[in-house]
Amino acid sequence: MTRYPEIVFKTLAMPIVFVLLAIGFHFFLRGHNAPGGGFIAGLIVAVTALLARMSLDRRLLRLEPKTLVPIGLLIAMTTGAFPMLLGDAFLKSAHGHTRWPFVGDFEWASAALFDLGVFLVVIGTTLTIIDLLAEDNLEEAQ
Amino acid sequence: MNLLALPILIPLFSGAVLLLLPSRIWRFVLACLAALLCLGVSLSILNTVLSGKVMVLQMSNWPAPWGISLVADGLTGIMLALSALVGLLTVIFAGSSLQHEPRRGQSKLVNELRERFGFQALLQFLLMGVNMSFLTGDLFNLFVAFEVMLISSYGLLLIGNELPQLREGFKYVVVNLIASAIFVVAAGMIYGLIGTLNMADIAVKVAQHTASYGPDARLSLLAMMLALVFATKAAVFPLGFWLPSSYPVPAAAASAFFAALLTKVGVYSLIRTFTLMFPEEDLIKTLLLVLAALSMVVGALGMISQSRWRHTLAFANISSIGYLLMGVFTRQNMGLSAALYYLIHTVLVIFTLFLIAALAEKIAGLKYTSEGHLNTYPWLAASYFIAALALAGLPPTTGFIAKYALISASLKVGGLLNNWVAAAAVVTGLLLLYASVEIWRGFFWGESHAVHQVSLPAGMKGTMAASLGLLVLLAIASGPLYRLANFAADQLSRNTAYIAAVLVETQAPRLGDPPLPTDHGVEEETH
Repeated sequence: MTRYPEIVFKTLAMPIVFVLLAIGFHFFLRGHNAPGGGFIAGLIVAVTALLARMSLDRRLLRLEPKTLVPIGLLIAMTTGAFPMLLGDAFLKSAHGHTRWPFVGDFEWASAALFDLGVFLVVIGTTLTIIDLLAEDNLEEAQ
Repeated sequence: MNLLALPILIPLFSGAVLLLLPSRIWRFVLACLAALLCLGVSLSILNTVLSGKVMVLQMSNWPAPWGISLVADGLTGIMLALSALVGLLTVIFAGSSLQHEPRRGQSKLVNELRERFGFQALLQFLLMGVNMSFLTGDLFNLFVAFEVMLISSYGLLLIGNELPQLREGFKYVVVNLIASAIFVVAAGMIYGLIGTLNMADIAVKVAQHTASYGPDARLSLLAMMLALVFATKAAVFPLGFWLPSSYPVPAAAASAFFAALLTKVGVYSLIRTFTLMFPEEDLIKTLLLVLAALSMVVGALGMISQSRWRHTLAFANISSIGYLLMGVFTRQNMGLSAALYYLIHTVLVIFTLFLIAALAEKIAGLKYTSEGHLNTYPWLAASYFIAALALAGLPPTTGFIAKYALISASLKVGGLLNNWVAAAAVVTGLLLLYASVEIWRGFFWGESHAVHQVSLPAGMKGTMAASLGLLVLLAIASGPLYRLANFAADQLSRNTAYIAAVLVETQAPRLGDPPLPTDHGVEEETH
């Protein structure tokens, strides 16, 4: 089914999808100390998935987006609750520095895992909402 | 102190897992386990708090005014225990009622779909929001908790897609969105003016400011905005117009939970606002006292005007909010302990009545005018009789004790306004009695037309019996419970323990911490 025959749109979509994914990844990583983070990255990736679906008629994810929500929630929650097992406060973040080849000094924080959970929840929710709205329109059109 | 995070984490965890579980039985088992665990944790928090200690968890170890604190004092302990108890009963009730038709003459498919689309998971998220709003010591976090609670309640209200649900759900969403918008604006303005969102810190700074400069209209405005938001959530008379038509439309279990607890979250927030953060705003308190009296009377009158089970009870809920606020806003916190006792009582009464209504709707549809069910369902009639006595406030029940305490506190304070409010409470008691008798006359009394008995699911009957049992137990255990309410009220009216516990590391004035900006500032300096 080709609902969007526009050639420019279809040709440009592929590079745009990759650029957007890269931007999403960038925003996810910089979120710890600068504007960005899981929520914004999630929105960017969700838009990318939508673009891929509209132009290439292809799903970015094999998974049903709805299942990302509980998975993300569980990741975020486990990260938050883990310090409690060690006797520390809820949501306490661990962080440190590692030296990586080529990258150099790299500061990591366990809060990034929490962000990953948020990231997944946002993608799941946004895509589910878009899916539901799109379904309605299809039914009306037919 | 990590115990304090558990009433939020357990429902969050189980809600997320519930979304993944494929089988109905497993979903039910997990939801029950989570609710039980939550009850255990809440009771142990209540137990710790009863020793007079205020429990605090600084999330992520950030010290108080900067990080978010979870705080539990006596009031929080009581509310948590109530929400866990009602939550557990609701989970069981939902598990049983969602396997059957919603009411007589309706396909059971609606309810099965409700279950499959995550009713239990939404219920867990709702519990999470409710528990979080009781626990949090931070105004913005309270907003977040409200949103968690509201978004799950939108889901629960709309799940099933029946026509009345969509119609009323729309109004409910719009009203609550407006209230939330005002809330977030108020929080922003409080941060702009006072420089903090930590409730204990707000309390300290507002008290300092009032002590040195006298009453400030800007603070009154902020308190007014918060009062407006919380009064809308609590469905106080002119602001509660959305409640009577929206609470009766969702699945029975959701209705019961909403009516028993959601409005009480609004009341809880009002108590916190006007005992902790803005205790000096006498004008607003007086205004709310007048509205409380109006809510009582209007709720009772509304009850008389209705002929459908849950619509009638929704008005009973408004009336009970009126009684609650009457206790909360009686001068000098005199009625606070009576109000807290009434709070425990009313949560259980309203919950029991909604469960009875759900059973009655299965027997004879939405209206209570079908006569003659006393013979066929004597146990239901007996249960209704007890619950109705408690609602109207007649002697052997807790309703009498609670209302007696409320009215006597109001009369003890005296003055024209309090006497009138007490009079309104007495009159409302009579109206409530009349309305309850009306239901009795309509549904239980009279000639029986029933051809055959409707078989009612054992789970629903059992939950209703358990809830009624708790209500009876409440009357028997009145002494200790009243002492509990007294203890919590005492803590609330002084608040020193709360503030000291939250701001433990930052008692001394902080460097670079500017005082509230004032209009008088310039003049003060020139003196």
